[in-house]
Amino acid sequence: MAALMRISDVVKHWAEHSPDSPALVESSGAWTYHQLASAISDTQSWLRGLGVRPGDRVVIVGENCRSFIAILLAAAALDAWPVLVNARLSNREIDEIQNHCRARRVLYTISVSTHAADHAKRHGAVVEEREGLGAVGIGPLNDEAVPECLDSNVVDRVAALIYTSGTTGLPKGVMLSHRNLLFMAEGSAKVRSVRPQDRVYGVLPMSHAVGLSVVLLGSLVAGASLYLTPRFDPMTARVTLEKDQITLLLGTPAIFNQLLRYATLRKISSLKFPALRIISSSGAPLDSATKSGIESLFGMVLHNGYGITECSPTIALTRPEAPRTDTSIGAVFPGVEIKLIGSDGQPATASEVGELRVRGPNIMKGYYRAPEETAAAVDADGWFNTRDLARLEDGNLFIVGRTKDLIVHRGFNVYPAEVECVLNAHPAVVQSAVVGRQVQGDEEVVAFVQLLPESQLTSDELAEYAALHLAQYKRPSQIVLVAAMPVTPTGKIMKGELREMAASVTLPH
Amino acid sequence: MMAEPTQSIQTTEIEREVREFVVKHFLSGRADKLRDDGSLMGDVIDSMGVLELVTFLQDRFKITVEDEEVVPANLENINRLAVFVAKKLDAKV
Repeated sequence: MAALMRISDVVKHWAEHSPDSPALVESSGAWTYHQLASAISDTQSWLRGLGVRPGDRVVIVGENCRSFIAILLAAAALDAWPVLVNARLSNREIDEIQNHCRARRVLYTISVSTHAADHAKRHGAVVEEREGLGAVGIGPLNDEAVPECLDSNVVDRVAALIYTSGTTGLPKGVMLSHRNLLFMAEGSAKVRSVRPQDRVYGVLPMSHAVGLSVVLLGSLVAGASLYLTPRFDPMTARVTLEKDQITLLLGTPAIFNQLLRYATLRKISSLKFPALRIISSSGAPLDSATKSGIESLFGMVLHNGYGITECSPTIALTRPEAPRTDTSIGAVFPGVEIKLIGSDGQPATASEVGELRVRGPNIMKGYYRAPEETAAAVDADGWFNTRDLARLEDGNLFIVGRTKDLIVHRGFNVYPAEVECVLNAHPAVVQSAVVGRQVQGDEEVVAFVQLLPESQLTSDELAEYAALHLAQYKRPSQIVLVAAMPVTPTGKIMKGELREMAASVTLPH
Repeated sequence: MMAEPTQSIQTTEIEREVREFVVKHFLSGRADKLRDDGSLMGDVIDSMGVLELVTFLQDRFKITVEDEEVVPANLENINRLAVFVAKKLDAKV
């Protein structure tokens, strides 16, 4: 296979050598590799006609579907920057991203997403029925958008801009290059021996790093077929795994827990899929109960992996040839270097816990229009600081904690600062503090809120208010109203104490 | 011609019970949160909610709902759901 320069090149080899093989399959239809290549080519011309130039940011709001992928790969082929946005984000979040990246165009793939359709309507987008792509909302042209300069080296140009909510509550745009994403796609496919005969279940959102590099590009680079679904539902998943003889299922602990719950409610003790050869979890810490439950249900090993958007995202994963019985995240991704730094700033010794630093072709180009944040995350020698605490045992990594407050709910990152920012904006709220609460296979968002003394606001009313401004996965599972926050002598909220309180209070049912 | 009113009454009763279950379990008892068209999609119930709803239907009406039948055509809104359950009950007779 010829050397790949852009992420859109992953399709070329297969379009030439096995044009009739299915590339993308969804309930409404499928594209072969030849059809996918044609769709990308047609979409490129269409984007040019819409005024999209190399270096322009093109926001794509949608959920997993063929048109989302065609627009993303076409934009990348044009050297425009696809800005991938999950349609399930709230109005505020999408507006912040759109404004920050100064998009030339915002496109909405609405065929499978009512959320995308709602955003399109809100932004006054013109909905066009595109042959092959279905209904696409086209936002107005931004005449003031200035194209970014292109790196002279094609592989180092930005291939995708993915926003993660920053610790300050403001979104950070992670610039991932073609090199970053192709390195991850090829490495992931190699580790899992993905072949053209494979049928991959595409449920992880392609607007997020793992869905983009590992699932989408990792499938296409290997000539496999990707079965797209905009959202997970255990019943549809069971039917698809069986009928379409899916061979790879990559999910999150939350997804695997839904399968366990499904089996319990359906009184199923065994779910066997003869074609399935790898099941793997990433996106959040995998607990041993989920791992053993799924292994017992499926009769096969549940693999584990770990990554961060800024690392394209995989840093470590367990290998098919070396399954683990514990919840280690496995060995370091091939071609990636790591080091563990102790609290004294020195390298941690064997088996000692240290802060995990990562270096390699997977490290992002930087945060868009945020040089200070980039410098704080990646040092002069190219080491990215994960701010996660880990230890290494016989070449296998274990994540033991986080040095930041990040909450991972249903596989999505929730930054407390962002949720607090929304709650604090309510006129009746004096202050709020958001912490995580561990539940089986997941981490819930719990908010502690102090109201004005005379306020009659209820936690349900505040939850409704939060729902207007936060994506569903960021909304607190529970809002606890408190008369006062536990604070240190200097007035800093004691989050450790709140975490203990969160663990001891349960949701009313 | 006589079967039609019976079917209608049965469907209305099923609809009432399903509505009650949805409001109680997914909308914190707030009937006003249910859209006029009785839509169950979007933010009303998530995929696990659908599963709980199916479990409720099976237990309450003593029917078997296959995974393959859990599609929008059957579950998109409360009315469709009631028609689906009514058909299942008719098939049992």
